[in-house]
Amino acid sequence: MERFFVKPLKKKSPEDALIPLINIVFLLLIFFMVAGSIQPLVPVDVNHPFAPNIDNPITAIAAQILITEHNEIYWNNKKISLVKLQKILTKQLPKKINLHADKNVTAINLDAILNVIRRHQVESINLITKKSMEN
Amino acid sequence: MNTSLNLSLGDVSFITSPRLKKTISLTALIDVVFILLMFFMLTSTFIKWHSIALQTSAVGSTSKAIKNQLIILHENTEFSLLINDINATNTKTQKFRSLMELTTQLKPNIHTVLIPEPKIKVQKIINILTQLKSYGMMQVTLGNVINVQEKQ
Repeated sequence: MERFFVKPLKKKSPEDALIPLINIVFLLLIFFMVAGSIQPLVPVDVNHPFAPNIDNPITAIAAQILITEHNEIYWNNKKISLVKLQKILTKQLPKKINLHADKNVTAINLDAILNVIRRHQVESINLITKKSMEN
Repeated sequence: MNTSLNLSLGDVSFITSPRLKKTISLTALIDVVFILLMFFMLTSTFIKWHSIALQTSAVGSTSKAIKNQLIILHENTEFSLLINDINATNTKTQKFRSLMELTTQLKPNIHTVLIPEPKIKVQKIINILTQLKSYGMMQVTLGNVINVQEKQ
């Protein structure tokens, strides 16, 4: 006489169906954590100049100056005038400045801001560029 | 198989109940993972900013104290090259129609300062600075804008 042993079926819990979803979500999470980088948001639309050959990524945290296409100046996300910028620099004495200038800003407007910065003892001024065409 | 055991200690007997297999609820885990995923998706950016270091003192821009070569970038995309000697007594000026033509006359070991005309845009300045660097000019900086009187 032959005997057949049949394994009793395990009762599946409804949570078991979620496991593939969790796997995918975990993979997405790891991708965004590894591939992305958290950077301070730029409050206004600044179209950074494109420089494909420059390979000098920003690492140090520095004060931010933004110059928009319409020559508006932003200091750490607040709109200010050139005179106010001078006062802030005298008061705060930042060592490092990242200059986010729009690609359409003219040399004379950029120069006006650079002259104000250069009057103070700033250790480094970095003009921010982007490597790819997308903004 | 029943895992319950009967233990007797004199008159008192203990019956151990079968151990229940405790499972971690996945719902809470998914909630946390989803929140983390949302955070990273919304805050992370894939644009990597790069930077060009600029001269921190105005001295470097139009200084005549050190030997340097000044490149004037004109609005009509022409270039003028001025080479100062140490005492600034002898300044040569040459005009060039293209950057290629200009680079043949540049000396890579001398400090190079790019002086744009007032209406030149930042993108153009960056293009010239990067091209000069790619031609082997390692000491290239952006100088002050040339004013009209100085130009004349």
